[in-house]
Amino acid sequence: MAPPRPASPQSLPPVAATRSRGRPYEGWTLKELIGEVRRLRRAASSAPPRPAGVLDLDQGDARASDTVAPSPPSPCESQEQPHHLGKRLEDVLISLRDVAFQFIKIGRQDEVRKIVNVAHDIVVNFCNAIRAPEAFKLVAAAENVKPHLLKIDHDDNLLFLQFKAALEREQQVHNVNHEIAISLDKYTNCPLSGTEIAELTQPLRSMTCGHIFERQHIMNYMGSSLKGCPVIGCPGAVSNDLVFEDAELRHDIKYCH
Amino acid sequence: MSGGIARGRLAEERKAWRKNHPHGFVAKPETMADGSANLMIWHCTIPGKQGTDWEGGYYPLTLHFSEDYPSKPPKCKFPQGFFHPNVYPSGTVCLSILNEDSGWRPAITVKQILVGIQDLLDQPNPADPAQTDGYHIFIQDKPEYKRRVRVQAKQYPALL
Repeated sequence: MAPPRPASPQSLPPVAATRSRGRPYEGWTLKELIGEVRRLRRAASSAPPRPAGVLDLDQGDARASDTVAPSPPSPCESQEQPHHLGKRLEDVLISLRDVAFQFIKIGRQDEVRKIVNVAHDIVVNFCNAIRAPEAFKLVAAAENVKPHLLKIDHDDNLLFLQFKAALEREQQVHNVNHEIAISLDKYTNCPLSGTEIAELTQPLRSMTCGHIFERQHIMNYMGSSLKGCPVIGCPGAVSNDLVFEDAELRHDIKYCH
Repeated sequence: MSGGIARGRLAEERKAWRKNHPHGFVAKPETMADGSANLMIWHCTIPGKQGTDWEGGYYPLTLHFSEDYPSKPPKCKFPQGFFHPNVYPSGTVCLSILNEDSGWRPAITVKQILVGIQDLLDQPNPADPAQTDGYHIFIQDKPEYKRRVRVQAKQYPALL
């Protein structure tokens, strides 16, 4: 039996009220999940326009009645917090993964490719609308589907190649942040002032190695020439052109610690 | 060149040392006549490592920090005439991590300096001699070298 639909297409369905037990979106069919992705996309209409070359989800649907014209900003848009949106998308993606596994078992390759397109659309269009940690979780969830997709014929599937490229691109960002996290774990203080990183007043980050310094101390250390990173054994270099104010620094400190 | 950076870092070093420092080591800023602390000069004690000929000795070491610290390393001095191949007759320690042109990095802490010097005591570097007496005996007469080390260990007993 189909779950109840919300009266207004602009509002997100109250998942908690619909299903009191089990994981959100558990048991939903592929058609229902795709509809949910469309509603979530309308709720995040403030997201940047999708890059050229990426097919719209609606293009794959043969029925003209399902085609949705670009909708005006939703009155509920300001109420949807990025964190909630990311959580919804994560749950949808996990359910898509489960459905994909079922189709793989029974050899429904066409259905699997459709799921790839949906996952690809989520990764490409929604990563900018949600916080970085949520994006990495989405990528990780989508990653679980990839090994199975490699077993099917995809030579002529352009979207699959785009899907892989998007995953690899996000994975690189994830790796960089992971390395910075390791760096922060090892050095909890500014190497020059000795102050704890969380207490730095004007933190600057090195582009080459990610280490974080107090502005006054790193400027005094560098002078006007290129120098090695003050951290023992670090191969990075610092100079006036290689340290910058990282707008995400506070977020990184909170996230990585 | 803005002042205060060296003293700010040294205040953090003192705080970190009080919070956590290796057993047997002592490190404290010099106390001036008016009772306040002079952060630019630290008086330290390095215990001889257990299981070595240096065991039992507690060797006094003075750290002299300049206003350029931590861009420049501190000068570490044992008492004059200290017997070790890599210690100058004046007592200054010759060690790569204390050389601005080779191994020094501003992130090196006081704790790391003291532990590094303790390692140096029992692992001299014959490629970089700093005094003729210690160097020649170390190279040519190992038993005599060991005897001299044990004699010196008795000259610096624990202050208790």
